[in-house]
Amino acid sequence: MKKKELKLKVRELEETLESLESKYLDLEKDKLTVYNLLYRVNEELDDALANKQTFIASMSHELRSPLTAVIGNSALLAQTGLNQQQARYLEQLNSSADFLMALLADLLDVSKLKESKIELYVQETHLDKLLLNCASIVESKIAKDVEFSVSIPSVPYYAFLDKKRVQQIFINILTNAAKFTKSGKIEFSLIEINQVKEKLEVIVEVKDTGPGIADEIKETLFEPFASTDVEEGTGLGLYISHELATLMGGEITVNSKEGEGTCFRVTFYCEKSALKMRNLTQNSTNKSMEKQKNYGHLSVLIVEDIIVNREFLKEMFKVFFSVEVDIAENGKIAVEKVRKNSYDIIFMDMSMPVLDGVEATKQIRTFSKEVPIVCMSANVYREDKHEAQMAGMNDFIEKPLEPKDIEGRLAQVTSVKPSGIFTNKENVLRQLALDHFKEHFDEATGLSFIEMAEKGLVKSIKAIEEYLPTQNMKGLRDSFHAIKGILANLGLGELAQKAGILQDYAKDKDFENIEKRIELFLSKVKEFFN
Amino acid sequence: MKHNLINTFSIEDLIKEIDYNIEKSFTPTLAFVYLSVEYDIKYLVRKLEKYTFIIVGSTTVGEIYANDTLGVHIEEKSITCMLTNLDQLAFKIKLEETKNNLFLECGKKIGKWVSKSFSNSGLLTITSGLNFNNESYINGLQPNIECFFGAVAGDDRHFKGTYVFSNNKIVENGVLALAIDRDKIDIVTARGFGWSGIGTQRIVTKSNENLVYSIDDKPALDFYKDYLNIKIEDMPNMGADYPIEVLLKNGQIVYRAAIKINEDGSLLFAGHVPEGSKVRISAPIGQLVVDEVKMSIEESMIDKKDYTADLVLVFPCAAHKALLGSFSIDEIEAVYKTTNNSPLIGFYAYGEIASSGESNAFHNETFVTVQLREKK
Repeated sequence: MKKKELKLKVRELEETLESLESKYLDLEKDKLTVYNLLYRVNEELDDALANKQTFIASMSHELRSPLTAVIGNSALLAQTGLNQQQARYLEQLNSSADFLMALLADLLDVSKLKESKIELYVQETHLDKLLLNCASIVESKIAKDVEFSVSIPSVPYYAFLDKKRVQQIFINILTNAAKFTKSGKIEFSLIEINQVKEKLEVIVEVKDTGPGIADEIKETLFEPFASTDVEEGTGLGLYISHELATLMGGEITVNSKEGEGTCFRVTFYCEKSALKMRNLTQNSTNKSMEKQKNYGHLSVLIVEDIIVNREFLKEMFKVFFSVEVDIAENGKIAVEKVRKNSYDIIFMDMSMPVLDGVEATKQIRTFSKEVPIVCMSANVYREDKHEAQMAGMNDFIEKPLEPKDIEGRLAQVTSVKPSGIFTNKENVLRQLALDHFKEHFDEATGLSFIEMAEKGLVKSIKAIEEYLPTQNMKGLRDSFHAIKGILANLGLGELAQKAGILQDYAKDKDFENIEKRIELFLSKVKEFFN
Repeated sequence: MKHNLINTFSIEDLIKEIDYNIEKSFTPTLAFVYLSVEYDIKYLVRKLEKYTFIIVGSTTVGEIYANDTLGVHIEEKSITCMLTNLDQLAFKIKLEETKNNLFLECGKKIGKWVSKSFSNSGLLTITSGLNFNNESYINGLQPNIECFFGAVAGDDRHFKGTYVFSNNKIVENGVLALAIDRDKIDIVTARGFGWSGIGTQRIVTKSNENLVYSIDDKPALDFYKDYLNIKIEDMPNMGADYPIEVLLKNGQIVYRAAIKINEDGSLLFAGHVPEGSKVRISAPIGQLVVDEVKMSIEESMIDKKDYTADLVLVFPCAAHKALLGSFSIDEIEAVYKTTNNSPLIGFYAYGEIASSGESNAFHNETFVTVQLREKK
């Protein structure tokens, strides 16, 4: 090749290189531009989201607070001896307030469901009773000409599930059936319960002879605001129900023919309690009524910033439980009061001016680790619950407070700190277990269960102590699982929960975290034998 | 302060240049030597034995230098050295190998040593070792020292082994600590970000130091899979490009790069991710990152009018280089200009260290700038 040709070739190659370099630079520039764009769009979305969240949060608080006062004061008013006309007005007032509260709850649920922030609050429940309760709530809404057939066989064991959310699903679907069915029949049936590995698969159907659902609506039936009834209802019920069933690992399917009727089939999963229910007596209701009267000796602090809510709670404690409560208007005052006085239990609002419930609890926990603090929250949403737990709160009650919720918490306190029956800490766990059994069985049966559980506990503790030195994770996992079940059956929920955490660590082969917690856990469980 | 910048591609050339500087210019007291892990570090340290100046040495993911004579440069696989004659009495050096993974102990030991070195001490520290727990080390430092900064050594993104070295010693899992007398040397530090959280905030439901097991009660890996369809072989590079934004309980935001996926679906991060903290995925903010870094320096100099440093040290995260590519030079030029064209040396790192009050001092994805000036 001649020198001239070579030079030309070099020139050509240089030009290609230049063009490639410039293309490469353009590509890099494009990449950075895309990131810039992403950042800007993200900023805009963040702003929009922050506005939306602030709006929802503040609206929730603003609307719920007066509504809570309306509902609460209506309950108090009902206790004052009203004539028929007044009682009727009050009933209408109540039903409107309930509807508003339900609507507000639906709107909040939708917003939280969309962000995956609803957490299930699982507790030991009579599944059959729960379903029957849904039926009885809706029964009054069913037209007279419609036959309501309920087929819920008795379930001989407890299930661990979120009562409120399961009830929400069936009340929604049954209410829809009641609304649309003008003649014929509504059937509410527990179809089957299957044991699938460690879980129970529950299938329930709601079948009606209503007008049926048009094909074009069927496709969007489970989307928000896709109500089949354009005049009534929020259009959110089915969406929420469907999402809740999904959250429980299940689904809702619909089978409907226009003019013939509709069948909603709900499938959800829950855990089965190992404890079988025997000798179920009718005395339990009477016993709990008796208990209601014995709370006068308790020292209770209510921390709530809204005056009407405060007054209502004060009255509720007085009327229903004969408790004269102490009041703090905000977290700061509460901290000061807890420093000076000794309380058996504190009911703490979450959002308050000056110092909110979370911060107040953190401060209280620096000098008082023992006093139970119950969070009064508008909703048990994951982030609120987590934040409250991290701060050191022990429990939650969803607002508006109902007497039965309060009673449950007061009963727990009295069983731990009763008037002089148990003076040493060693017997507390045993007594808690006995009280738990006595809700459903006679004392002798309760004691026999405790005896059985003791054997199981000894066996599990021994196994755990054997597996620890060799870090046998499978053995530890199985033993924690076993001990969790026993503790749950004994009604010792908090300890059972701790066993569950340890079980998770064992499952993850995270020995370090087991090691950190095991000593305290075992010493707590062993208190049962002291 | 006098200085001389050297950039070479062989150990022999480096030694020649140093000798030439000593003969013709000035006698150095302190030298920064940053180089690619591809060089024979043992040989280099032997060759440097003959000098009396203090050596601050580290392996890198790219070397950075700038001055009036040479201009602004980013190099790969080179040896970059800055010789200075800063007051010899203002510095003390210590290298510490960490044994039995006692990182917190190591931090406490160095912290005590630094605080005793001078009545008003600062610290430049560079750590080595891929399993070195920087956050625990810093937690150990924090009670004893208020002002500290530095970086985590790199190895050209091979993730096989990183090293720090000084006179006669190399450490492959430990720390280099240069105690600085703040009565003699004025220190101004800045930390610029460049990543931003995107998407929904979630809660770390189970973690232990660097290891995150679950986010929103789901395996931690699902979090990344949902967004990026990440695989084991994508780590640690992908994890560095898309770190998580962690909102700590004290309200501080830190970014943590995921460096390893474990078989059980848990993720290993370059720093601690405390249980209960709120996290979201993050992405870089494009060329705006340059503005962020520039602004961080401007803010650090707000109450320092007419301040010109004798020497500027920079420690950008290696992710900055990967993000900006050919435009990385824009970032370094902006820093050089903002620090009034003071002589500059630094390297791309696997992690950055910069104290700021009580808040967390270990970072990923940031750009740390340190200006040093002799007090008159």
